[in-house]
Amino acid sequence: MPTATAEVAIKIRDVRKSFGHLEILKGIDLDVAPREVVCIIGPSGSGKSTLLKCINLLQPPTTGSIEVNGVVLTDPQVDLNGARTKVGMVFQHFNLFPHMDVLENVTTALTTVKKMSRKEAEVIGNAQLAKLELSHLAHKRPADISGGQQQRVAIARALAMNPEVMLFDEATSALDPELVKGVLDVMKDLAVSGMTMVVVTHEIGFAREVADTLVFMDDGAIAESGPAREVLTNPKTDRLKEFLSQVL
Amino acid sequence: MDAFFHTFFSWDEMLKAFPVLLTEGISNTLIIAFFASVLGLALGLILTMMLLSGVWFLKLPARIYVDIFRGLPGIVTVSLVGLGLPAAGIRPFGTSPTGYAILAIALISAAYCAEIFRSGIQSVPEGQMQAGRSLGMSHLQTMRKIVIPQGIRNVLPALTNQFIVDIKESSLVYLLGLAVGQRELYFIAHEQQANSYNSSSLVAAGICYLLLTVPLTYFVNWWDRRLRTGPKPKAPSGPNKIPALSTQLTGADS
Repeated sequence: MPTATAEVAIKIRDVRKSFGHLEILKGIDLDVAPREVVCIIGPSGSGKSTLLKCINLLQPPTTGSIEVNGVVLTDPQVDLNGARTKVGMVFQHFNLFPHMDVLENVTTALTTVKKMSRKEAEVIGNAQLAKLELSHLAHKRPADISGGQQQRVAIARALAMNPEVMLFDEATSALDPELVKGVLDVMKDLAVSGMTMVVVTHEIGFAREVADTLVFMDDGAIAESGPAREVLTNPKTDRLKEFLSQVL
Repeated sequence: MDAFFHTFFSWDEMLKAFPVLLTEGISNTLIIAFFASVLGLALGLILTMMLLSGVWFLKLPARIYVDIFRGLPGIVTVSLVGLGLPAAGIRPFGTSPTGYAILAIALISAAYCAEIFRSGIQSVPEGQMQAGRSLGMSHLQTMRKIVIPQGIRNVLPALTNQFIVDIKESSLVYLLGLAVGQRELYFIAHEQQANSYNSSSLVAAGICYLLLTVPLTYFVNWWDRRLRTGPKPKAPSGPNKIPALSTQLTGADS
């Protein structure tokens, strides 16, 4: 097997995560290639979100290793804050900063982490908002815009850091049904543009259409994985068959 | 009945008390309360950082401090600081009791402010810290830019309420013996009452306190209501519940 690191954007090896005596992740191995889109599905409580938060160490794994573009994030010596700027994350509840307007939400990490001047940051921020057709909201507060707009701002906030990898944690689960499509469209465009993405989702249709690889998690382990269409059309395990029969 | 009215509402006594109360008393009360509150806020924020640091050698002294100064009656703290320190030869404020008074009230206020700040910061949803960290901001940067500004906003009413408490606590400095010019409301009233055996001056001082505290109390209640339900909703979504003022004050330890 070739070992060139460029072949793998994200390398997850035997990741386990326990909270007290409760083992949430029971040994996960997963590779994500550059430009690949991986969708993770599975019943709630199966550990999908925990796995995603292990990738940027918001939830540090109990054991195992995480490597993103050659940087071993689980190495205690590594500059974790620097590494996290290259891993964007979008949350189920958006987690926008309510005391800042939309533009400040997008620029605050540019000025604090990347030490840009306010002006430089606003150029990047405004360009990013324009790309997602959010320019007209630049000076609104998160509380004054819709959930779909909030989530797109959250995506713009992550993209403004120019990440190499994007993680989506049930990005549409908290949205009203009519707002889901707008957010999925942005994610689709991002996938087409070649972004490496790991997407935890309940949107099977999105997974079928956009994902290269589908991962089905159950009870803290990967129960089945493979090319998305194949896995969804021809599930091998009974657990995935049962899961699909319930969500489709 | 005449005796009752004469004791509490003697017109002559009030006319004698009010000019001094209004020209000297109110300003001194406000000076003590204001500087004690500012000092208390600063010290309280430091204590909160220590309490939330997760490092035992910062957490433990802060915890002990808060427990002591919240547990002691104000009058004991004021006596220890205002009478004790100078007697022990520690005289950072020389012989002026106002400095010791401010320090004593500030030490008490800091303990309460620490708990108020703590409840405010802990009411900020965990997702805010996660969002900051996911963007590459350090824990400290996220606290400073994201969590603390929201946490303080959540407890502005409770902090104003603490200022009301400090106004009332400032009366305890009568213990320290104030010279003319330094006298605050209670001291003036108490002095006059001791000379005349008539309580009307105390009623007059009481009225002055109420003029300060009652409007502030109503303002705090209005502000607290507005922050939680007001025209501008606070949180985009998710569990950003600001605890009611009453639970912040009584349930701060839980």
